[in-house]
This record gives sequence, C-alpha cells and structure tokens, in this order.
Amino acid sequence: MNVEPAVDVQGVRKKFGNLAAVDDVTFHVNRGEIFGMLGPNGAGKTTIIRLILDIFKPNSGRIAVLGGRMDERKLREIGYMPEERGLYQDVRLEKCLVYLAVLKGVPNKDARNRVIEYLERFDLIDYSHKPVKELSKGMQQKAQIIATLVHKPQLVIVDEPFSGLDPVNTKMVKDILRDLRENGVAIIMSTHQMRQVEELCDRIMLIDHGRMLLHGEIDTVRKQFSGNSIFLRTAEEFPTLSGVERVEEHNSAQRLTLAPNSEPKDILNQLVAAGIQVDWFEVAVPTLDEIFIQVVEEPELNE
Amino acid sequence: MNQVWQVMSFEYARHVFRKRFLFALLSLPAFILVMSFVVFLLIRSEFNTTPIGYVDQSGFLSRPGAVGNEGSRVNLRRFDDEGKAQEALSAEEIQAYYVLTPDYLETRQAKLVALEEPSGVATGQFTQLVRANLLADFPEEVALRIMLGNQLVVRSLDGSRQFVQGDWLGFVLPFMVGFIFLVAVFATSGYLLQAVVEEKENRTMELLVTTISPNKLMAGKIIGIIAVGWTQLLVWFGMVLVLATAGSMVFDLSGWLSLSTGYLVLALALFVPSFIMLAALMVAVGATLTDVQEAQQVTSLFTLPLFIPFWFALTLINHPNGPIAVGLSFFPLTAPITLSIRAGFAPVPVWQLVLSIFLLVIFALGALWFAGRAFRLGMLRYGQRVPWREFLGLETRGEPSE
Repeated sequence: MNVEPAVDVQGVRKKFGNLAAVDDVTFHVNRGEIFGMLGPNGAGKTTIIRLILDIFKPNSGRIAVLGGRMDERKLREIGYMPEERGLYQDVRLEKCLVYLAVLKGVPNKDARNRVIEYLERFDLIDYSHKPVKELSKGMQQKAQIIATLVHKPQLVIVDEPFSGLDPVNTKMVKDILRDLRENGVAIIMSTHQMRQVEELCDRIMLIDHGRMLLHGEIDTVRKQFSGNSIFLRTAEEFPTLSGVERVEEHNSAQRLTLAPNSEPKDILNQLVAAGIQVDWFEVAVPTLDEIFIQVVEEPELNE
Repeated sequence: MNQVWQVMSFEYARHVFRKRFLFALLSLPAFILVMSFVVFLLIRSEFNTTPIGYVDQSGFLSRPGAVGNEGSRVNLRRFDDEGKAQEALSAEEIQAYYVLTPDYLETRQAKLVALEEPSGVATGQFTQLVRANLLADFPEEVALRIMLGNQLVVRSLDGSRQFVQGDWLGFVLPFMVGFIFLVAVFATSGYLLQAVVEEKENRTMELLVTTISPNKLMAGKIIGIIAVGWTQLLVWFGMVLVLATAGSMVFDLSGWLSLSTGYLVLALALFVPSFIMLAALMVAVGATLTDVQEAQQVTSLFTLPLFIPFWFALTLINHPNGPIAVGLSFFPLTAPITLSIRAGFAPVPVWQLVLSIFLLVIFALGALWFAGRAFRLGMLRYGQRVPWREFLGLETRGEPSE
C-alpha cells in the first residue's frame, strides 16, 4: 500500500493584495482517511482547496498532490464538489453527468454505464432524461455527488456534502464516503456540520483568518479541550468528594469540575466506596461544536 | 486534444439540438419568404396585364418593316374607331386605349383614355410599338440596336474588374460578401457570450477548471460555437442556393458565378482572422462580465465599427484607392468589409492586402491571448466583474494559476 500522503501541504501562504488568505498552513491527508477541514465562513478553507487543486498558486510553501506537483493527468484522479454547486441547467441529467465523466477521462461507454448505475443507486434514474433545472435542490445535490465520484477518483474533496440532503440520503452519502475510505481513497471534507465530522472524520484541522488553529485526531483534540471535568447522574444524594472543585447542574445530571491533581477514577472510587448508585459517569469531553466556538472566539486559549 | 473535441462536440450538440436554434434557423428564411410574398403581392397589384387598345387614325402604326414585339406580356388590340375602343374599355376588356390622330406625325401627340392609370408594362408595350414603327425605315439590325439601347461596360486598367451597365449583381456582390460576414458574426456572437457567461451563472466553472485546462476549455467552446454559427450560415446558404437554382431558370444569374477565385481567397484570408479576432473579443467580454445582457451591450463597442465601411460605401466605390478606403483597410474592425468592397470594384495594391491581413492575424492572436487571460481571471468570479486594473496586470488579486 502506498504510504505516501495523498495531499501534503507544507508552510503554504497565499496573499490577495495585503490580505493573507492562507498563512503558513501545514497539514497532510493520508490515503484511506477522511480529513475534516473546519472553520468559520471566510476562514480560508476554499482558498486552501483551490491551492490544492492548483487553481491558485501559493506565494510560498509547497503542495504535493498524489505524490508530486499537480498536473492535468492528476486532475482526472480528483473528484471535487465545490461549495458553489453547478450543473448545466438546461441539459438532460444523464447527458450532463456523462459529459463530465468523459471529460475526466472515462471512456464514453463506461461513463454511461457508471452514470446509470449511480442514478439507480441515488434513486434518480426516473429523472435521467429530464433537464437538470427540473430537479429539486436535493436531487441536484445528489447529481453533484455523482459527478464528483463517477470517475473513481483517488482524492475526493467535498465542500458541505450533506447540505440539502434528507436523512436517508445523508446516510447513503456517509456510507459511500466510508466505502471510499475503505478502498484507500483520501477524502477532504469541508463542512460546518460538526456532528457529521465527529461521525466520519479521522482527523481534523480548524482554521480561522487563514491560520491553522487546531490539527490532529478527533479524540486527541477533544481530550485536549476536556478541561478535567466529569458528568455524573445519580438519584441519590452524594457526599462531598475530595478533589472536586465545583458542582454544576448539567441537563438532568451534574458536571463536576476536578482539581488539577485529581483524576476521574479517584472520584469514581469515592462514589463506589460510599455505596452510591451511579446511573451515568463520563469524562466530560467537549463536542466539536463547543471546541469550534471556543477556539474561534478565543483563539489565544489555544496558543 | 481529446478534451477540446469533447467540449467542442458538447457545446455544438447542446446548441444545435435545441428548439431555440431551430427557431432561429428557420426564422430568417421564413421572414424572407413572408416579405417576398408581400412584395410579390404588391408588384402583382401593379402588374395589370389586361390588354391595351389603340385607335390608329394616322395609319402610322401599320407601317411595313416595323420590328415585332415578340414575347410581350400585355396584348395590344387594334380598334377601328374610338367608339368600339370605348365600348371595350367600359366592358373592362382593355385597361386603356391610345388614339393616334391623323396628324400624329406632325404633332407627335397621342391621346390616352383610361378609367384609371394603366400599368407601366402596358404603356411600355405600346411605346415599343410606336418606336418600332418610327424605326421602320432603318435596316432591321440598326432598328434592333436602337430598340435595345446602349450597354456601357467599365473595365479596370488591368482588366481584372469589369462592370456592365444594368448588371446589378456585379455591383451588389461585394456588399453581399461583407453582409454575409456580418451575419456570421452576429449569428455566432450571441451563442459565444452565452457559452462563456453561462458557466459563471450556473456555477459549473469551478467543476470544469478542476477537470480541464482553461485554455482547452476555451478553445473547445470557441470552435464548437463557431461551428454552430457556420451551421446556421450553411443552412441559409443552402436555401439561397436552392432559390438561386430555381431563380436561374427565370433570371440570368451568371454574375454570381463570375466571382474570381482570387476574390474568394482574399475574402477568406480577411474573414478567417477577423472572425477569430471577434470571437475572442466576445469571449473576453463574456468572461469578464457577469450576465449575458450586459455583455451584449459591451460587445456593441466592437460590432458597431464593423458597419463603418457601409456608411462610406459611396466613397469606397468612387475612390476605392482613396485615403479613406486605405485608412479603413488598416483598422482591424473595418478592414475585412472595407477590403472586400474595395477589391470588388478596383484592384487593391498587393502591399496593402498583405499588410492588412498581417495586421488582422496579429490582432487575432492578440485577441486570443487577451481572451485567455480574461477567461482565467474571470472564470471564478461569480457575480463580479474583473477590474480593468487587475486585467492589465496592475494588480494580482486572486489571479488563478496559468
């Protein structure tokens, strides 16, 4: 198996006039991995994607895609679903998708077969001869996903892939992305839907104002922000516990903030020793949503 | 190359197999047919072929030796006296009658009696009869010569151009050639603008530029759309050919065929680079602006100058090698039509032709470069124009890679 990263971005900077849209960003994306690219609107995510795709040239730094510099041949190995969706509105769905597949280098006959296969899978086969403009927003979104994947790319870059999809189709797209990962495809996913990121991504990167604020495996990042507290739910009154600095109500449970030297297992031991029946005990790891807000609103906390 | 071909055939097919295209294709011939029919009806109403009568009291019209009136479309009826002619007129058997009084030869006065003004064909017919009789004393060949009138032939000094009086086709042809060029430009420009602006409007551009290089995309589009425009022209030309073939059975169209090969080669040498130049300019405008309507307004900046040679048509005919004609031949937007008109009427110095075609080729290449740059700069600007400062390279904000 090829262990070389599918995308390797090293110290990349891109300035537009005096504005640094991307400022010293370094990361890599492995084959067989879903990499989440997070950040508020205007953070520089699309610029990074365009730099990877060679639509923009960086002012400094180095970008390697599928083992080297981007060239026309590699474009055929890439499936890209941009944030600004678009298909030829007055062209029939099947014809439009076949055209895009053929441009990506799929032989004409194969392209037709694959498109039909995908249209069936996405339940769009009845619309294959309708002009794209007659499709609903959700259907067009599915068509866009087909256009991204039909040529069996090695690197997939998707920007908000779940917007406009109902839960059934969201699940199907997630399954497809997981399948691709299983097959060694590298996937970069840019989204604001943190729940999907937590569910799908292996590693994430969080950027704001063109700078990378966070980078790493999801679990590691969450632990990094856990802040040494636990959730506890019990129907009984529990005694004062040593090593707990603060107790707050948290939904139907309580959040216990621990002293710096205290460990969650010490607290659990005390509860067991006191014979308290514990319904729920969990180390309070923040959600990605919480981390996102915290990092974006107070970036100095992360530095 | 394969990708250029793919883009080309896609662009071609999606325009040609559209109802809108078929409508545009058929609307011009339909319009011409309707207009021709209206004109035909108008002429027909003027074209009264009811016989015309005459009463010849002078005996002048029955002179022996008068040249006959074969092939006349209005019959002439002779009446012995005015009463019978009047009866025939009242019964509408004739549209009018002439009376030549006994002293006609002295007075040269004839009387015309009619209920309403007789048609020109009818009066012409009678005039011919009078003329034939006036010439009855001359030998037949002389009489015929005088009857047919003169025919002036104007030749250029080197003999390469000649105009025969009354040969309106030879006169109109250089203008027709220019007109066909303009129709080709306008037939194509709308599609070109639409094709370039469309991907910005429907946001397909980002998907495409990560699939195919901008230059290939642009090349495929330009060739495909030009093919659409020329398909339209070919179909129209085919229709004209069918009409001309049908017409040649009635009219003498040899003037159409008298075009020298040299003239056609020259027209092609002028029109091909001009066409590419204009197509590239359309792409440049389409790529830098945001919607088709706005783009069409801007393109008038360089489509209007194409008409300038027609404004100077008289000057170009009278002084085909004068300063205005020469000046317009070196300005790329006026050169193609100016030169095609000039060359139709007089030999153009070779150095002027070479220089003009050379300039056109240079401008066409420049326009292609310009279009390529506009396309790359403008392709990802959704709903934004490309500022001119940036276009000229004074700023580099957001410039996509080459």
